This record gives sequence, structure tokens and C-alpha cells, in this order.
Amino acid sequence: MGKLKKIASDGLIFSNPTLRLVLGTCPTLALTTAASNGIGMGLAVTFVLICSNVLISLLKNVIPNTVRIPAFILIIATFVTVVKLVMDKFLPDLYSSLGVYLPLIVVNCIILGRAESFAFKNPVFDSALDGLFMGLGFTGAMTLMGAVREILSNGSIFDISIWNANSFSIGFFGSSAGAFLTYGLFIAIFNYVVNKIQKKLAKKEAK
Amino acid sequence: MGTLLLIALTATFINNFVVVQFLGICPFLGVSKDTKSAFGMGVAVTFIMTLTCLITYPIYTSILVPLGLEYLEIIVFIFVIASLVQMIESVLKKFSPTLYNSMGIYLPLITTNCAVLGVAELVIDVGTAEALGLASMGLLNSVAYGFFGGIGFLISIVIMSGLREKLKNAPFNKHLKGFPIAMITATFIAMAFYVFSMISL
Amino acid sequence: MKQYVKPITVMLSIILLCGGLLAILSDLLFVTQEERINRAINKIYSGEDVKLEQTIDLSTVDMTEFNDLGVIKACYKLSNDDYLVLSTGKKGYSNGTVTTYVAIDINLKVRNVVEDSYTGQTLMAKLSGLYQSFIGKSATQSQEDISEIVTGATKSANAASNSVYVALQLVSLVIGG
Repeated sequence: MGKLKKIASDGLIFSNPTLRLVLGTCPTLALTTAASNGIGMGLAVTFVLICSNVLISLLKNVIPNTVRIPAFILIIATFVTVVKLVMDKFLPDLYSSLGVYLPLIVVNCIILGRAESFAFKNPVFDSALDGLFMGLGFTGAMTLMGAVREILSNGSIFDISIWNANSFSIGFFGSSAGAFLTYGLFIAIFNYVVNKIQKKLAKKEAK
Repeated sequence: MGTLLLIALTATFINNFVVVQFLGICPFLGVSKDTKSAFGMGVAVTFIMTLTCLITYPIYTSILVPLGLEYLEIIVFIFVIASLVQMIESVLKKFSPTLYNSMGIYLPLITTNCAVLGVAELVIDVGTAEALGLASMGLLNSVAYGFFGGIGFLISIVIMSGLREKLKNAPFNKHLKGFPIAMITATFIAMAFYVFSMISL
Repeated sequence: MKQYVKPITVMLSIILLCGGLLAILSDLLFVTQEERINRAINKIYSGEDVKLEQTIDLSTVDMTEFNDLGVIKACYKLSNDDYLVLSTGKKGYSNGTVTTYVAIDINLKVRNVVEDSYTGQTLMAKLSGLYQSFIGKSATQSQEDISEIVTGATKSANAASNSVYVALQLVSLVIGG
């Protein structure tokens, strides 16, 4: 039980891939213009992450150390292509709004990083859980950023209008400069909160 | 000639790979602490991007499309890039140790650089050609797109490193230090590049 | 020599497995052009029974004068006498393009517009109500009239309105000629 809790809290908070490790920045900046994009991209990455973690963990005794990186990339690229084909068939709207960033999941550092640092050394079930929670951490951060940017730039959330965007909206947050600013402030605030939590936990343990 | 000029303007400034299209953000944040290494990284990326376009575009148009194997594009592209990087690394090591010492350490990082895979995907996209007023890119234009995209990367990473050198000793709140302040610096670069999006071609 | 055998066999078997899996999946999940058109038709005429009737031959229609604004990809006649045009509009935000399906009725008025794909920035895709505001525009209106729809976002809406404009011009040429 303790292990599950550790994997979950690591993935979601303490080593949150987006806000703590600052990995996979390209899709985070580009696709957080709307909350729904964040969820779509996040779930696509989560799926690839779970599948590749499981497969790599299963094959960890078969793959020789010398060719592990090409083997990882090959496995990841296969799953990304699967996601691409499935999404084009069943979710065409999302497919067109993710555009070029969908194939770029292959070079997303989160997936290769987890394969190398976790899945290649740990049993299958733990790797699957790690993939799930890392992916959820990524999805959560992206959706939250997407929601903030969508509200400020378009007056809506998940495409549901909250107020009339013509009367009040800050277009800046929809632009590329706004993406950098939002991301920077999110990391700063998240660091602040996590530091507070860690201090509290340390105090508890000292007692 | 006019098309090449158009590609140069579009790939370098209007659709700058880093601050407008958000490709290659990892090295943009990771290797921009001082100007010298930023310049080395920029040159290495430009070189690889040009070569990638030179190889992937013919493979896609004359092998994958005629055989109906478009779905293999991601796997083929990432393999071309990975082996290209590996090959250049060994060639440099053997024939030009000085160049290897200045550029070599950045090469392994380039395989997982979104800008390189991104440019391979962009030059085969019909939309990129249409925005330039062409029916399809063609080999020469693709290579030019890759080269000028790399130059755009070089320009923005050098600007970024210059700004970060100046900010190194500035008294920031400790939560803002590191990535947050780098992102906020990038905000202003992106705002400067916003001007180029007003150019109508 | 022996130390190379295992890595090579492993890599080759992974390549074969992955390639096989992808080949099967891509056959299963292949999306034909007809399916894409039907998706657009379903979106435009939600629920109504409208079918694709014929593809219009565009080789005789001269659209070169509009090349600066947009390009026609295809034009279809539907079973309810409407025309469906797949067109790409140029000159969007940071020189992006937008490709749309435009449904035009027999009186040369826009019935509805749905987006197919776009390049350039993601910003413009999310302008709420952008495509609905084209409904009812007609082929006699100038390009400025059509693009004058979304206040404060003229630049981002440019490519979309160009795409609608060239679609209207095409259909008026097809019907008129």
C-alpha cells in the first residue's frame, strides 16, 4: 500500500512531470489554449506512457543494454502511431486540433525518461501504475493551464461560454507569449505549494 | 528566388520554431545558460534540421507514399534522425576532433529535440506548402525550410542566453528562480516576435 | 561476433512485430475520403437524410484569379441540391491557412461551414461562433463584406472568410456556367 501511495504522490505532485520536472514542455505550451485540448493530449500521452512502460518492463530481460534506446524509441513510436490511427478514426475533431503535436509525442521526454529511469528497472505492475500516475499528473497540469488560459482569453471553459468574450477577454493569454507567462507562473506557484507541503511532512516525521 | 525569400522569412521569423510554434523548447530552456553553449547548440540543430529534411522528404514522397506506407512515417522519421545524429557524431569524432569538442556534447540531445522531428513532419504537410503558395514543397524548398527553421532556432536561443546571462545575479524570489524566470524571459521574446506575425505576404 | 547476434535478433523481432501490428491496424482504421465527406455532411445537416450524389469536375472552371485568397480542393453535389465545397483559405494569422467544408444552397447562400483542418496558430480555431456567423452570406457579397463578421478578431478570421469566399465564387461559376 505504501508503494502505491508513493508512486501516486510522486506522479501527481512531488515529481509532477510538467510542473516539477519541466518535461514535455512543447505540447504543454502549444496546446493549452483550451482545456479540452489539454485533456485530449494528456490522455493520449497517458495511454502511450502506460503501454510503453508495460511493454518495456515485460521485455527488460530480453532487450540487451546496448540497443535499449533504439528499442524504446521503436516501441514508443509504434504506440504513438496506434494513437494517431485510432484518433483519426474515432475523434476527428481532436485529431485536427492536436495537429503536428500528436506525432511529436515520440520525442516527449516524459515517456523516454520514464522508460529509462523506471520501467527498465521495475516490475510490470509498478511500471503500469507509474505510467498511469505520471500521465495523470501531466493531464491534470495541462487541463488546469488550459482552463485558465481559455477563461482569460475566450471567456469560456471546455467550449462552454461563461461570459460574452466580445465584452471582456484578454487575448494575450491566447497568444504564444501568454503561454510562456502562464507556464512560468504555474511552476512558481506549484513550487511554493509543494515546498510548504514538504516542510509540513518533514515536521510531522520529526515528531 | 522569391519563394526562397518567402521561406526564409516564414521559417525564421513569422513561424519561428521556438517562440511561435513551441518546437524545441527543452534545449531552449536547458542549454541557454550561457551564450557560447547556446550558439553551439543552435548551430548543431540547424545542421541536423537541414540534413533531416534532405533525407526524410525524399523517403516520404518517393518510398512511403507510392507504397501506401504513410502510417510508418513516425517510425521511419525518428529512426532516420537517431541514426543521422549517431553517424555525425562518429564522423566528427574521427575527422574533426576540434569541431567534435565544441559541438559533440549537444548531439545526443538532438535526437529528442521536437524541432527536428517537427520540421520533418511540417515539410510533408500540405498546409505548410499552401501557406507559401505552393502545391507541394519539393526537395529544395524543404531543405531551405529546414535550414531557415534552424536559423530561427539559433537566433532565439542566442537571444535567450544573452538575457539569462544578464539575469543570473538578479535578486529574485527563490520560487521564481530557474525555470519560472526563464519562462517569463521567454514571454518577452515571444512578444517581440509577435510583431512578425503582422507581416502579410 | 557472438555479442552482436542477440541485439540484432531482438531489434529485428521488435521491428517485425511493430510493423505487423501497425499494418493490421492501419487497414482496420483507414479513413477514406468519402468517410471524411460524410462526417462533414453529418455535422452540417445533423440528422437530416442528405447523401453525396456526385463529384463535380473542376477542370473546366477557371479559379486562377482567386489564387491569392484560397484554393478549391474539391466540390460535391448533394442529394438535396446543395453544393459542398472543400476549400482552403489563405492569409490567416501569421500566414496560416484554414481548410473548411462549405455547404452552399441553390440560391448561392451559405448554409453552414465546418472546419476540416488548419495550419498556423491554434488561437483562431477556438474563436467561438466564428463558423456560424458565415451562415446566410451570399455569393454577391464582396470579400470585405464576408470577412466583416467577428469584431476585434479580423486578422484571425481572415483565412476562414477567404475560404468561404472562394467556395461561394466557385459555386456561382459552376451554376452560372
